[in-house]
This record gives sequence, structure tokens and C-alpha cells, in this order.
Amino acid sequence: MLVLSRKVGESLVIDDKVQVKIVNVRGNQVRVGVEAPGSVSIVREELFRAIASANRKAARRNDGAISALASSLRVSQDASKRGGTR
Amino acid sequence: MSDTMSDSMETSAGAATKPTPESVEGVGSTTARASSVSEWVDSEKNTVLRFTRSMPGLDGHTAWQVLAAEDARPFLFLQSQSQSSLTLLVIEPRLVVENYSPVIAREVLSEFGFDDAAHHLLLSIVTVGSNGRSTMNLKAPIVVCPSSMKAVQVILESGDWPIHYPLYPDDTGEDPNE
Repeated sequence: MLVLSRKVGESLVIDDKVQVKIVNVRGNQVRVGVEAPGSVSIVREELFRAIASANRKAARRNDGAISALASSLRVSQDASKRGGTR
Repeated sequence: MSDTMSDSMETSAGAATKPTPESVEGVGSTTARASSVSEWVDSEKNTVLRFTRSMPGLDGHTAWQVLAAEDARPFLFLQSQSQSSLTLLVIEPRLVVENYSPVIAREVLSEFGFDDAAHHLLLSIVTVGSNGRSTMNLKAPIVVCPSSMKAVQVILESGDWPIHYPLYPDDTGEDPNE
């Protein structure tokens, strides 16, 4: 990991196109501003980690449960059409 | 969006559920204007999605074949072209959550080279629980551009959509055989 020191108001430039600026520091909370093209995904690390974990868990062999899932979904949709609670 | 559940779906426990590609009748070029995943899958041959970047946790897998098994509708499979054992179960989220309308910035879509940023489809990844209860990821939908077959998973930083949205009520008290 590359560790640099910045003062409030200073920035980093990543890969020529992403700029990270230290906007404000208060106590142990730092406000970070990021300027990047729209195609660059910027998310909090814990959210990224949660999505990665969910993706990996989902990408296993999916055989077997599929028909049951589909018919269960139909049951649920029929129930909600009849005014059942969700 | 109409409920396309009129197809009979028998629960066939023990039957082979390995997805087989549907034979698709080409009905002309409706893909660019497909307004639902069901329409899109029915009108497209060789549905290989090319992700502009791989999904978090699934590095290196950017080409995914869309497979439709008739007894699994409305669920679809995505199968990695670089590792056939890697599959994702997906569903169009609005079939389950009618008001699911996440804001996907058009600039984001244009940057990905989505030909027509206004016409995109959404897929949610489904996680099958060990007890048969399943959830779908509304926090990070897969955005599909039907006309270019490009796709990207977008993490919605804002909004309260959950990563694990339950697919159906815990206990409806309904007889599943009705």
C-alpha cells in the first residue's frame, strides 16, 4: 500500500484521471472528495466488500433449487394479487 | 410489466435442472427496444453479455452467457464463458419489486459505451439460501444494454436498497400446491 501524507486541501492524482482531495478533517473523520470520469466506480470499501462477498456466494452451482424457486415466486405473486401481505 | 407466469412451472424435484439454452425464434430486431428481460431473451440469439468491468469478487469473468431454462422462468442464468461451473442466477427485479427504480446516471452508461443510455434493462443477482429461501441484490444491479450486449454491475451508493432482499414472504400460509 502506498501511504502519502496530505494536508487539508491537498490532493492525489491516480492514473492521470482520478483526483482525490482531502476536503476536511474533524477529529477522526476525514472528508474525501473524488473527481473521476463517470465510468470509474467509487464506493465505500465496506460496501464494495459486501457486494464482492454477495457475488461470490451467489456464483456457485445453482442446480436443483431452480424449479422450486420459480414456483414459489409464482405463489408469492398470486398471494400479493389476492391482497396477501408481503 | 405484465406477469409472464402463465407458463406452467412444475416443481420437479430431482429432475435435471441444468439449464439448457432455449431455442430462440428470431422475431426481427426487437432487442434494441426490448422493454423487458423476457422480451429481450425471447428475441435474441447467442446472448453473451460482455461486462465492461468484471463484477466485484468475480475478477476476470467478463463474458457471461445468458441461459433461459423454461422451467426456471422468470429466473435466468448467467454462465461464465471462462469457467462453466461459475453461474449466477438472476431475475428482472421489477417482477418482484414493482417500484424498483434506481437512478443509473446516464453519464455512467454513456461512458460504458452503452449505445442507447435510455434503454437499459436490469438484472438482480439471486442468492439461493441453504434453507431454500432466496434473496436478490437490489443494491448492486446488473445494467444491461440490449443493443450492444454490454453490461456492468453498478453499486448504488445512495438509496436504501438492500443487498439481500428476500424474494418471497417468510410464511404466506398459502398451500404451495394451489
